[in-house]
Amino acid sequence: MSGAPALEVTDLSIAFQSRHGLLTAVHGVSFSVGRGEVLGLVGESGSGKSVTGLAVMGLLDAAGRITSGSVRLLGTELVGLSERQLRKRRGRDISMIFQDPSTTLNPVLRVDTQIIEALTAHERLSQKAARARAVSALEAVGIPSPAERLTAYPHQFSGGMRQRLAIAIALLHRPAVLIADEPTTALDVTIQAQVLSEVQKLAADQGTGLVWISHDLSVVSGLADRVAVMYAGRIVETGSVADILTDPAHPYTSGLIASVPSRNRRGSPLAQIRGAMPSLAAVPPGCPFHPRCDFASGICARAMPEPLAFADRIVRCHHPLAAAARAETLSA
Amino acid sequence: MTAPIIALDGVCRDFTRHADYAERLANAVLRRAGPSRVRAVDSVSLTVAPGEVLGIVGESGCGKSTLARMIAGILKPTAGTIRVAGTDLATAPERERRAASLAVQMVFQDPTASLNPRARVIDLVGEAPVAHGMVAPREKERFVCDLLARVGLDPSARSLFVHQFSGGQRARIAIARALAVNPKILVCDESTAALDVSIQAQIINLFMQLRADMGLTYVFVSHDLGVVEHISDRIAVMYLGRVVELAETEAMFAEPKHPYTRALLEEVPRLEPVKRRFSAVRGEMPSPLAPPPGCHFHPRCPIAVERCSTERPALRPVGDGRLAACHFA
Ligand SMILES: Nc1ncnc2c1ncn2[C@@H]1O[C@H](COP(=O)(O)OP(=O)(O)OP(=O)(O)O)[C@@H](O)[C@H]1O
Ligand SMILES: Nc1ncnc2c1ncn2[C@@H]1O[C@H](COP(=O)(O)OP(=O)(O)OP(=O)(O)O)[C@@H](O)[C@H]1O
Ligand code: SF4
Ligand code: SF4
Ligand SMILES: [Mg+2]
Ligand SMILES: [Mg+2]
Repeated sequence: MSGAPALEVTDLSIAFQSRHGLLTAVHGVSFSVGRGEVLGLVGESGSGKSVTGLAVMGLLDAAGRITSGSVRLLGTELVGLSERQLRKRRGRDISMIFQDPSTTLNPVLRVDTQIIEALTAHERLSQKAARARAVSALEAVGIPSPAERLTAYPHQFSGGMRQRLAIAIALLHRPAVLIADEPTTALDVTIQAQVLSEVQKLAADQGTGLVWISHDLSVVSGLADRVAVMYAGRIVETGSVADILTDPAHPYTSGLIASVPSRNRRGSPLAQIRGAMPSLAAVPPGCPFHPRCDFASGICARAMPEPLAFADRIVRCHHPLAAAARAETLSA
Repeated sequence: MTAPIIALDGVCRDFTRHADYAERLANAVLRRAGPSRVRAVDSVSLTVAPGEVLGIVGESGCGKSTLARMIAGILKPTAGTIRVAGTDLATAPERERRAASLAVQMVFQDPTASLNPRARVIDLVGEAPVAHGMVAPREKERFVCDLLARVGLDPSARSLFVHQFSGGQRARIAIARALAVNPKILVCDESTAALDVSIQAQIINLFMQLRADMGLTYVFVSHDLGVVEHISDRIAVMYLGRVVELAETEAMFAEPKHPYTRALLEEVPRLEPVKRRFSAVRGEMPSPLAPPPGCHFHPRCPIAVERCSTERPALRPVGDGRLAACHFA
């Protein structure tokens, strides 16, 4: 299928078996990523970002499962595939990188062994050709003197270099989709900028669709084309970076943007959202944001708002803020 | 000018580090003597005025926490002097030293690690002031309730344990505990780093409210430049143990003088609705075990010349009361 987006997630719900019974961590999440496009998936701790990424990869742990919805990779459904079938796809058509690169890297194997293993898992290659590919993969992520570095072990690399190694391995087969779960969060600012610049360049050159997961709206705003904002397991707003930053439609998005220090006059009190994110076992009824929302009305505590589409954006709120969204609710 | 409440003069801190297995192996194979001394803080001199907020920024391992712990009196300098409210913590008589060390309290990044998990909030907060005779035992409960309310916690939660609170609430408990001995100075080491943005904003507002209400002085350590910019009057930038630039916040952000500060400010992710091209300072952070000679920044500096690799630039005045450690600032 040629017109299909690289990744299309529709109405995905994910639940975990727990002491409190089956707890739903992600509710009906939908998004899509085109080739060469960057989608930022933003939200605070516990909002369900990592779980969403893991479910797309088919990597949920034993307690978790997809309870409904669909994940289509280049038009092919992944939900319901066997582990064997998924393994053929993983690393070749879709890859993931994590905050901690040691999730991907094996500490007791030399770097060349790991890269060549990853290469030959999906391709038939001579040792010589594989080595050459490994060298150019390290070169592409900006690792200096790649041929010599190949014979080193992961612990001989700095944190930033280890993360680049993980990225190099994830991109070996030029996957259609790369899911990046906070890979620069633990890095220093200057090293983060180096890694971001490599990923940005590679994804654009290879036409990889990138899902960039982060709690930091500032990182995402410089990198992404579109943003999806998550709160308590739901995407509450999706749109272009420019639309969302200049004219947020959901009160939570607006609160998040306003609480970033650089958006406030130096020394003045920061705009803040009162209260805290609810835990999975105690999600409020209706709109889960209503106890913290300045715009809440009676209906917010009773009914979950349905997604409202307008001007290439989607928002889930009974009283959306953006001017364009308001026009839409009035005409409906 | 009022006398500074904190004065550091030539403060150094060395650590002897034990090489890990891989390093020992490499040292043995290459027959080299493993360097094992780290100068975590290298000749830092600075002052903080009463009521001022001094921000300390820099990347991982540059010595921020080590400097903060020395100012808080938790760690001794290996050279130089630290005076807090006029008292030299190293040489003052016991009674004076006790008073001075109560005057400066530290708030850590991870309250879970610094708060006893088996103690109730009322004891976590109320124990020290009772032990120091600042609060009578029968006044303890009322004292703690007042303090909890002041930091935005419900006093009825005073009998709970730390694990029963959210991250933001734990940060508030840690602040209440620091405030309990009526300090003049709070040293905050990454106190908001583990918090979500919306909660971080609440805690920063609390810090600023307390400063206005109680006239506190802050030393505020963070790797997050946005947070430091917001809260600080002046900022010290550190690189590999040295202060490389010290200036008033607005002046520094308007026109950084040191090439490292310039690079750092350029790479801060900003909330802007435009895609940007990330470029970056070249190279990696050098090992603190073997810092480059001369100016520590020279291998990464875009304007370095021969002289930079041999001659250490002094932190010197560069106009408008600013200091920078660069031959060309
Ligand atoms: N293996 C698991 N078993 C049970 N619950 C889980 C499991 N993994 C995640 N959860 C729950 O699912 C919810 C979403 O978690 P997730 O890790 O996706 O959050 P996140 O948005 O990635 O947060 P963070 O920014 O902290 O990484 C949380 O409430 C979490 O406790
Ligand atoms: N107790 C110690 N023993 C040995 N070395 C230490 C000790 N504490 C700190 N160091 C070293 O001193 C240097 C400065 O460390 P410090 O923790 O002050 O840095 P930092 O700027 O706070 O970094 P971060 O941003 O990662 O917290 C580092 O090289 C560190 O390894
Ligand atoms: S639905 Fe109601 S409570 Fe929820 S975000 Fe919108 S206005 Fe606020
Ligand atoms: S002293 Fe030289 S190397 Fe150091 S910052 Fe200045 S120009 Fe760069
Ligand atoms: Mg996560
Ligand atoms: Mg530190």
